[in-house]
Amino acid sequence: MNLVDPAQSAANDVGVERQGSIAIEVRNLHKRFGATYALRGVDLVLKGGCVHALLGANGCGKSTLVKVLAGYHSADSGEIIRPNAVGETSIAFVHQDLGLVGPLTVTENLAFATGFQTRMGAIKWAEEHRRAERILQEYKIDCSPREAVSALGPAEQTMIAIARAMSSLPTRGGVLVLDEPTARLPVNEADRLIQLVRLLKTRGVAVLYITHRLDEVLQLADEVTVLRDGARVHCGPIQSLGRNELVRLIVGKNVETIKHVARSTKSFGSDLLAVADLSGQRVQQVSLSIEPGELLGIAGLVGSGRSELGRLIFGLQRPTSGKITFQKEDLINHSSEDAVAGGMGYVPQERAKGIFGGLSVEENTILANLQSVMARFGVSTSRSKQAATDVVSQFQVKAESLDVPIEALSGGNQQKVSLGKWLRRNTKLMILDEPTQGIDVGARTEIFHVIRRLARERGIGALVLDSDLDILAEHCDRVLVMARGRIVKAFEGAALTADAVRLAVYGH
Amino acid sequence: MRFLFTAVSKYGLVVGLIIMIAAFSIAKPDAFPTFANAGSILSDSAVLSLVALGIMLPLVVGHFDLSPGFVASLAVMLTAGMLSRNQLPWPVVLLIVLVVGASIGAIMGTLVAHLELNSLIVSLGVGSVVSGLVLMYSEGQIIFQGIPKSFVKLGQTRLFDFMPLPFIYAMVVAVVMWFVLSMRPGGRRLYAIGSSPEAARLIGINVRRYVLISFVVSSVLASLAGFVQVARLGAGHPTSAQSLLLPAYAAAFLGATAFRPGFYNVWGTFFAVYLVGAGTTGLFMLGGESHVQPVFNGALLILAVAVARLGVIRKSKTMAKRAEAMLHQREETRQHGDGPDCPAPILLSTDKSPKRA
Repeated sequence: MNLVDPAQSAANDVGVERQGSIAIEVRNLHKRFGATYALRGVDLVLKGGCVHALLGANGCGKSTLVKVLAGYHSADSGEIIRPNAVGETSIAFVHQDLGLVGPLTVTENLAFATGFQTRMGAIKWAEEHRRAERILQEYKIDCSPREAVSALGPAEQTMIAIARAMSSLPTRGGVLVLDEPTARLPVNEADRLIQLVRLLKTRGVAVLYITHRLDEVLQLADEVTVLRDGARVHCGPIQSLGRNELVRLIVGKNVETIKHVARSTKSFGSDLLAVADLSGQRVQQVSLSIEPGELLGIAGLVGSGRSELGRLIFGLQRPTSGKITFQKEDLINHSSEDAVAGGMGYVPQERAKGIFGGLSVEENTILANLQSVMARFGVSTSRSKQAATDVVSQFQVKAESLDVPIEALSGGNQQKVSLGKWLRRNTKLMILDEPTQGIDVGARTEIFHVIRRLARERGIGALVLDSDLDILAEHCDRVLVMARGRIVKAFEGAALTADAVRLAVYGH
Repeated sequence: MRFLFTAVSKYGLVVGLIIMIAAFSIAKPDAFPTFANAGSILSDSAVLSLVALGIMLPLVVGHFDLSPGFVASLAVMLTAGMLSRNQLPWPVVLLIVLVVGASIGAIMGTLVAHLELNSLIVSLGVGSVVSGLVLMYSEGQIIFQGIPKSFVKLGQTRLFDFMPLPFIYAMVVAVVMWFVLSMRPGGRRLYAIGSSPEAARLIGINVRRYVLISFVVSSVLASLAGFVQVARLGAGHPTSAQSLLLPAYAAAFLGATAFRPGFYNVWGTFFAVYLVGAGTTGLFMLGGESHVQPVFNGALLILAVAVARLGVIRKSKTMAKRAEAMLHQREETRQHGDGPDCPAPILLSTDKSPKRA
């Protein structure tokens, strides 16, 4: 999608990236931030028409590398070589924050990158919409140019952001950096994005693809680079690597893949939660039960009604019919306030809604249970500190101090606090909506280990709504598959494997 | 050095106040640094401090109450009217005035909390209606006759020839508010709501109730301010309280730069009010005309917001630097946290009204 004048497009043809030729090369990049060594002699070669995956636990230097490429940081030493550079804009970025303007239309968002066409000072709207329509068709994005971006689903939004980035690249070739483009997308929506990236490959674009999702890497990438602690520990074609090897490279040791921790034989009673014929907007006649100490996973594609199920049970949404029985009491028209008072906890899908960003870590941990930190007249500073320290140590939250605003913490640590605060109350049932979204492998395991330990020790039950089927298969005692609002399959025991669940999810 | 810097920014207001007093004392050594003058400043600003403390509560939960000037004016006229025309005893008048204030606050609170209307517009609209009521009741006249001496004593007595009673009232209110906001669970929840109403709802806080209460308290304090004003002046002026709005906000914003930087807080607001009061009095003494006051208030408001914003910018830069440094820390145990991925939304949002200064 090139709208430069003919003279410049002639120059472009001279610098056309042929398939497989080097688009950009990074050599021996070093970067320090004070005492910390972010990049240690990192090399990277991106070739036209190739998808190069960049993997690594965060803190490994991925983000720094991207920022150096973007010009946000300047490296201490090393080179970035562009053999065919034409102008300054031959690298385009799509960051995690897409940078689209929600209330404005697709046409406007695309036109901001290329410039509006005007006649006598006024925008030629018809022309603009037609141009946007062409772009949408080219990238096979299913929406209308006149729609507001905020009305689109996350997959469409990401694709529009990619289309916009592409418009600043020459017609063939260029480098596109995609920073966790599928982090917010459920697995099936991610497929559409993967198709788009494959399309870009045919245009000779060199794609640097940063992700935590190993499935995508195995599906899409041609080459992979793994960073660890600022150094490159692997680089090569994807063919030779399997999932486990990738994990080992990223984490540096074998991640335990215990399929199931044996459920504690200690009985906590029965029927923590019983749901009978529950219906909402999407949810249709769902029945399930959770026992104390049990982790029940719910798998399903977007639109299956998973999130809504969680909201219905927690009281954020009114069911249209059905019954919810919690701890042997029927819940009728309950609000989230009632649910919390009754012993439920909820970790929402959007991480920002589960924490109080501007408040300190300490404040975040105590707000869910202020009664427990009271002294005679009011909140006791010593008890408050103690409570916060307990949560931080129990969940291994990495924070500079208890007084920093929680938004200064990394996403994984924020999530740990968001979860941990519930466990200061007498919470009996946790509802977790995509709890490990955007968190890397190590932190995910940590979080679930804690949840499982608490389930064993305290008899806390958990409803885990997630699209990461491996997580569900590995950590949950039972997994239900939802499709179009109904439960279609149940797995437990030996039959509960990631592949079996995947088949059921996609097979419906 | 860093300790000094944080100390100065945390107590900057106190320092600013001291410097200002010193400067005016040097400029007008006969008039400014006297007990009589100090008493006047304390008395003048007492009414403003009540209003400022009042509007602080909606600010804490993320809303704006632009009605206190009008509500205070209504209280002024009701107080003066009921004392002089109806000859009611002042405790009864006080009760009536506070109940009227509470009702107005409840109306605004309901519209904002339950109907989710924009607080700026609701408070402006309700305030406008109230100002009409004031005109109706007063017919534009100042009430200066018939106000009993026993009542005026409440506003004009100075303990030990120095400390005016209105200042004591304001002090009491400030102490109570400080206690509730910093020590009581309710106070913590208010700040939680201000930080994120959605997250607050998710941990079982009744957001609507707290928002409603914040508007009720704001209007009650505005009414109390009007009541005290009549006691101080011995007369009821229908529009005198309307000019309190801007300086009250200036004080609240300025206050958020000290004591608990980044958050609206009681002592910051309180000291800011007296900074404004001392400054205005000093400028008058130096020969400033009546136009000095609104110019000073306006300039101070802009300065307050600018300083607060710079503080936030500096803080987020420091935080970003810290986050990066933490990110790359060498650890003995594996570091598993994520990079500073934005918890921010994917889309650029239009600027929302500030939850905190």
